[in-house]
Amino acid sequence: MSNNQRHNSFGETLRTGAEFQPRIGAVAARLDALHAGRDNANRVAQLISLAAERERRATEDPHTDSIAPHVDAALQAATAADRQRFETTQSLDASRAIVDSAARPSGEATGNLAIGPWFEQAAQEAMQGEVAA
Amino acid sequence: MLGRLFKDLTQQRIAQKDAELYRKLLRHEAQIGGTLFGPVAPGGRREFFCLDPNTWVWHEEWIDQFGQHQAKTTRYDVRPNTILKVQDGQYFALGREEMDHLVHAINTYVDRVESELYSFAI
Repeated sequence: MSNNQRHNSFGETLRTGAEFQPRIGAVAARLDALHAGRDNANRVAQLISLAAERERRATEDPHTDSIAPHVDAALQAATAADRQRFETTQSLDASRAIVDSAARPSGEATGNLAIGPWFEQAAQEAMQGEVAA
Repeated sequence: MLGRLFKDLTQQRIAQKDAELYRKLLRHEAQIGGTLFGPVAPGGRREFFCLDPNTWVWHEEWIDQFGQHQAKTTRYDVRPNTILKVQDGQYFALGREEMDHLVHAINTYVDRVESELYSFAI
């Protein structure tokens, strides 16, 4: 193999092989996160809207189950799907810790506080407090 | 033996580059996200970005009336049935209006980031 051929072969490897894969992988990972983030937020917002509508109708006419069957079904399906998705994907991964510490005001000692068990516990307490309120 | 070592080192290097690029993309997204809400006062900085599928972050820095540098990071946690706002370790329920604004901002953010950063890949 001549030097020129060897150079071309190496260049081809760089362009199509292992060195190029991370670029594809990182972009794909970001796009996946973006779309999942958008879909999750929209789904929860829709869920809350449906719940508010249900409450409003129940207040207006407490003697009847005023919510339309298809809305009720959508509400329950969304709740179940969300819960399952959340339970299976819930991991406070390294990226959260990295960006969390980077996003905090400078000089503040952050460590890995965002990924401890306290985080989930605090969230549960906050949600319980919200329900109680 | 040497082949495996070389392969391991190559894979480590690829993983490092992957993580590094991921962070760079995230920071670039955050800059785009910071432009969604209008102008930032001189000396200030604003970033808004999707950290992961369940977390959105707003970071704001500004100079207060005493000339002191201030900063506030707000995290929105998307949970199965609600969205929680986290500031300084305190959790707050999101009001209906703020939730609508957040969702609107998220949809705009995704549109902008896709067209300005990832249009080549879509």
